[in-house]
Amino acid sequence: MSMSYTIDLTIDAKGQKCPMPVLLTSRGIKKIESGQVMLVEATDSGSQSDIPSWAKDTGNELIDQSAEDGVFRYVIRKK
Amino acid sequence: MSDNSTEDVPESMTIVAWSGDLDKMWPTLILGSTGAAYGMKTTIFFTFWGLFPLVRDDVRITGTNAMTKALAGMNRPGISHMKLSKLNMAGAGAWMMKKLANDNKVASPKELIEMCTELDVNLWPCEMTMELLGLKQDQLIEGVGTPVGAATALSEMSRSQINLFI
Repeated sequence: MSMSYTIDLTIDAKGQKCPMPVLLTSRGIKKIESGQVMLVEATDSGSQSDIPSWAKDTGNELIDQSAEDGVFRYVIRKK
Repeated sequence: MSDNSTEDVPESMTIVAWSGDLDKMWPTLILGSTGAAYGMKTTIFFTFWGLFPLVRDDVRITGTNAMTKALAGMNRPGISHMKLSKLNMAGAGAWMMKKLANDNKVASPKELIEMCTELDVNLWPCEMTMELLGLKQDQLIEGVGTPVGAATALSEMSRSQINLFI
C-alpha cells in the first residue's frame, strides 16, 4: 500500500507494552488537527489488533500499516 | 431501527474499584485509561479498600482513633504499596510481579494512574470511605475528583454501557 502523505507527528511507542501504545496514540491524536497525519511506531505485537481497532472505533483513519524488523508502523489521519 | 454510526462504540464506562489489591487495581487502571483513550467518558469510583491506592505514597493514615490507626497500619496506603491478594509473601510476590512488569516494559500502576489523569478519567473517591478512615482530600494524589456517594456512582453507572466491579 503506498499513498502520499506528510507525517505531522511521530509517536514512539517502541518497547512499550499494552495498553501504552494505544494510550500514547490517543494522546498524540489530541496534538494534531483534523486531516493531519500521525505515525505511530510500536514493537508490542498486541498493537496489531489494538491500534486498527482503536482507529475504527474513534473514527480516525488508518491509512497505512506496515511491519519491518519487529517494528509495527501505523499511519493515522485524524478525522 | 438502529443507528450504525454509533451503536458499535460504547460512550461511557464506569468501574467500581472496591479492592486495593495490586492484582485488581492494575487491570482496573489499564481498562480505565484505555477506555478514555477510546474516547469513552470513563469514571472509576474508588471505594473501601480500593481507596487506599489513591492516597499519596508519603501519607500514613493517622486516623481519628486507635482503630483507624491500626487499620491504616495493616493496609499501608499509596499506589506504590499495593499487595497481591494471593501469594504476596510479605511483599516478595508483589515485588516480583512489579519487577517482571518493569523488565517487560509494562506500565506500572503509578504510570497508569498518571495516564488516567492526563486522559481525563474521572477518579472519584468514595466519601463514606474517606470519612471512615479520616482521610482528607489533600492526602489524596493530584487529579482526584471531589468525593462522591454511592448514589452519584450509581447514577453514572445507569448511563454507562460498560459497568465493571473490580
